[in-house]
Amino acid sequence: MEQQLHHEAGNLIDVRGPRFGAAITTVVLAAAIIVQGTVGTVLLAFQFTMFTIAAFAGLRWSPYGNLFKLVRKTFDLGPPPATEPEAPPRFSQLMGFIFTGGGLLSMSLGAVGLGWVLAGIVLALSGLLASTGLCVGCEVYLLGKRVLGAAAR
Amino acid sequence: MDLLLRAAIVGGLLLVTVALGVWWQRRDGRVKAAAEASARRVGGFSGDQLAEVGLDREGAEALGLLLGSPTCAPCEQVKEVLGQIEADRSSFRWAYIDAGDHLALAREHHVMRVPTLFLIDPRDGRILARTSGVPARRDLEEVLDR
Repeated sequence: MEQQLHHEAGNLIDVRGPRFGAAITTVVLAAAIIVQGTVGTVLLAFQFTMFTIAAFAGLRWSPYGNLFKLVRKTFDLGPPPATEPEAPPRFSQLMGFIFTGGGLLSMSLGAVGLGWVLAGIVLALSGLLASTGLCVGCEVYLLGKRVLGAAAR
Repeated sequence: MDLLLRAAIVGGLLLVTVALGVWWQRRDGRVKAAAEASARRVGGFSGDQLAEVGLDREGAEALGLLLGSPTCAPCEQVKEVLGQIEADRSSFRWAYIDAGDHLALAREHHVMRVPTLFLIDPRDGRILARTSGVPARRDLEEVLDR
């Protein structure tokens, strides 16, 4: 069955999964930005690792995604209200990877403030996803394509 | 003190983004009828543009053109709505294009985000309506019945 889904439309996932993950991300990043210091940086690095796994190994390896599956099973949340292809949320994870990675990098180069600003952008977007389910990738897709197109010229 | 200040900033940031998100979502899927759609921009789709996106207007009474992206979940929902309408009306034809592959077309029609859907009159390429986000099936059918 899973094999069949894979052939037909890539991996299909429960739409609630990414929002659940975004809620945890929001809490982790909010805590990181509030406490900052060593603990904050460790939290940010932890979140960066979560993004890295989900973006590069795929959502089936995502720790938050698997936590959601466990919660769904334990509390019997029932079948998915809808499924969606894996690509869009995986793209968001890649964005998270880039921004938190950029944040950690700028901190290591001494630009601590910039690092937390980048973390704040991811915080805002994950809070948005968790609360509204908005497709941020859809909003920035054309802008990104235009910028890339202009840069290539 | 610093801790409290940062907590307030984080809380404020979340509040503002969520409020903006809710406002944005409310506008989503609203069908802008022809007058409103064309007041914002000139003209409609030329025959060349319809050919570019692979829409055959021969024998069609209404056309749909959906601009989307590969990483766009709502686009799939719009496709589903269009498929349902198509199953009901043999005179309705639609096409999907990756907006990133048709940047000139997207720019000419001021498409800023995906999914954006155009309902087009096949006779003259006039835009009957446009929507961003996921429109309700009955709202689109209302336009087609006009």
